[in-house]
Amino acid sequence: MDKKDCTHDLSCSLCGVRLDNPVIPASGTFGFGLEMAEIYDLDILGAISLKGTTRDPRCGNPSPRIAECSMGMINSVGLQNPGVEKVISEEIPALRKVYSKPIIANVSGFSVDEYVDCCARMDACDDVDIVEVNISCPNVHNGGMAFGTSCDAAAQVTSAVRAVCRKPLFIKLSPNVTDIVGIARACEDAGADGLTLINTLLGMRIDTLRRRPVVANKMGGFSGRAIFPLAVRMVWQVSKACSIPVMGCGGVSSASDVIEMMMAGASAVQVGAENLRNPFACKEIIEALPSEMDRLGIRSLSEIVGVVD
Amino acid sequence: MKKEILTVISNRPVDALSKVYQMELSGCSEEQRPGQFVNIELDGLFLRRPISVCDWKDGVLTLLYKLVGKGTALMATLQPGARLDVLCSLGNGFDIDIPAPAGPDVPAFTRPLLVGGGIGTAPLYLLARRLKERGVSPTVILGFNTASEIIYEKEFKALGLRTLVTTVDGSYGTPGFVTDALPLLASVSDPSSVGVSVSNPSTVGDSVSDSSTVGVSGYDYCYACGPMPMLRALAPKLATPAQFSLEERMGCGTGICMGCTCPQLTGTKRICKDGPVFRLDEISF
Repeated sequence: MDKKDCTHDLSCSLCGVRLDNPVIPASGTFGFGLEMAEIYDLDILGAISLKGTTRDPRCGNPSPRIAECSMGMINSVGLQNPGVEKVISEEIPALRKVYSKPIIANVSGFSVDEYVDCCARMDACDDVDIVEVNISCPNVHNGGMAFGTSCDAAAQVTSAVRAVCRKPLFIKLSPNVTDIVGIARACEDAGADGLTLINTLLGMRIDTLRRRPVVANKMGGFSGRAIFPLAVRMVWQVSKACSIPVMGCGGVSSASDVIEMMMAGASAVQVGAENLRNPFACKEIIEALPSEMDRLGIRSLSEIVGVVD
Repeated sequence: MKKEILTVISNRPVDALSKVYQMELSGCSEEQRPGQFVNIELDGLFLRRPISVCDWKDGVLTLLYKLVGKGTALMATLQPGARLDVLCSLGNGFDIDIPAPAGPDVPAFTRPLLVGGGIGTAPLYLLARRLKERGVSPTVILGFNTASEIIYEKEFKALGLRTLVTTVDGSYGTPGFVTDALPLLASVSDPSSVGVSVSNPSTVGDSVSDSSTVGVSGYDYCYACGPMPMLRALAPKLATPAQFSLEERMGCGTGICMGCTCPQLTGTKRICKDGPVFRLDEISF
C-alpha cells in the first residue's frame, strides 16, 4: 500500500456495499461500461450505474435527441436499451470481464408490473450489487417520471419492487416536483434502502431560425453543470428529512463538487453529463480527490457526509 | 479514441468569401483513418464539436468546417498557437480493405467512385490519398449549390484524380446534383463536350482500359459523404456496393450516451461509434 492510501480514506458504504471511493458514473452516461473500458481501468471507480434497463427492448426516441445549453445539455434518448434479458445475459457478463467492483442496475418501467418484473430479474443476477429504480425519466410518455411526481405513485412502485428485491434498493427521484421531501419520505416509508437524486430537469430548446424544437421529442432532460446548485439543495433537504443513504447526482464535474455534494448529505456521488463532454471525467475527479481533501483538511470522506446543518 | 492537446497551426477560410474554414493542427500523434472524426472542446460550450478528418500526415491534422452555428463560429476565432483539447480517432472510418468475392488476392475494386456533397467533401480527401497510396485512382464527384461554395476541387485534381464538379444553379461544372454526373462516368470518350472539368486526360484514358470489374458504369465501388437528401438520391442510382458516411447531432461522440442512434436495417446503430460509415445495404433511408 502506498502512502497516499494511508493518509486519505476515500472509501464509503452504501447499505453494506463497500465502495473504494464515492465516484459513480450515473446511469445513461456510461453505457454498460464497455466503451469506457477501452480508455481507462474501470476498477478505479467506486461503482458503475448501468444504462437504464426496461423489461422489453426499447429503441428510444426519434433524432435529434441532443441540444446544447449554457453549462449543460438536453437529451431525449428515451430509455433506449436492449431489454433486461439481454442486459443480464450479455452486457453484465461482458462488463464483469473487465470490471470487478460493484454494479448498480438501473431499472425503468411503464407500469408497476414492468418495474416488478425487471427488478426481480436484476435481483436474481449475482453480479448486481444494488438495484436503482428510476421513477424519474422525463423522456417517455405514460411512465417513468409519472411515478416519481406523486407520493402515492412513488410509494406504490417502491413497495411493489421491495417485495421482489432482497438487494439494496435505491429509488432515483425526479427534481420536477414541488416537494422533493414528501416524495423521498414516501419512498423511505415504502421500504426503500436509499435514494438517488436528482434525475434531469424537464427542459426545452427552440431552433429560432427554423421555428421548431431542437430535439425531435420537443422536450427533454436538462443536465450538466448548470443544475449542480439545484441538486445540492435537494440532496441537503432530503438527507436532513430521511434516515436512509442518498446518492447525490446532478451537475457534478470536479472533486470539489463531490465534496460539496457529500457535505450536503450524499454518501456517494454520481457523475453524469460530464462524462459526455469529457470521457475521462470520473478518472480525473477520483485522481483529484486526495489533493482536494488535503486543501480542505479532510482525512476521511465518510466523516463529511451531511456535515452541513 | 485518444485525448490529445493539439496546437492550431493555421485557421482561415478556404477562399476569401467562403463560409468553409480549413484548420491545421499539430500534435495529433495517432494516425487518423479516412472517415474518422475528432471531437473538439471549445471554451464556453458544454458539448464538444465533432468534425470529420479531412487529412492527417505526420501528426498534422487538417479539418474543414462550415460556419453553421455557435461552435463553428467559435472555432473560426481561434488563432495560430491556440491549444485545443481534442478526442481523436473516433468512429469506424471508411473500410478500404474489403474482401473481394473472387478471393483475398483479388482487389475488391480497381476504380472506386468518391461522391461528396458540400462540406461532406472533407473526409473523402484522406480517403483519396490512401487509395492513391495503394495504386488505386478513384474518380471524384463533388456537388455544391453554387460556384462560390466549391471546396477542394484543386486538391483532388492535384492528386491526379478525375474530378467532376456539379452545381445546383449551374454556375460551374455540370448543372444539377451529383447524380447528374453519374452518366458522365461511362461516357469517357469526349468529356470536354459535356462541360466536365477533367483533371488530366491520361487519367480519363486509364478508365477505358480498366479491368473487367469496371462495367458500363465506369466505377466498381462507391464511397460517399454528404447531406441525407443527397445520399438518399444517390443510393438507388448506384450500380455497385457502397459505403456512406452519415451525420447526426451527437452528445458524447464516444458511444455511451445513445444521443445519435438511428434505426438501420441491421438494428439500432450509434452514428458515432458503430459509424459514421455504414455499408449501403445496411442503411435505412
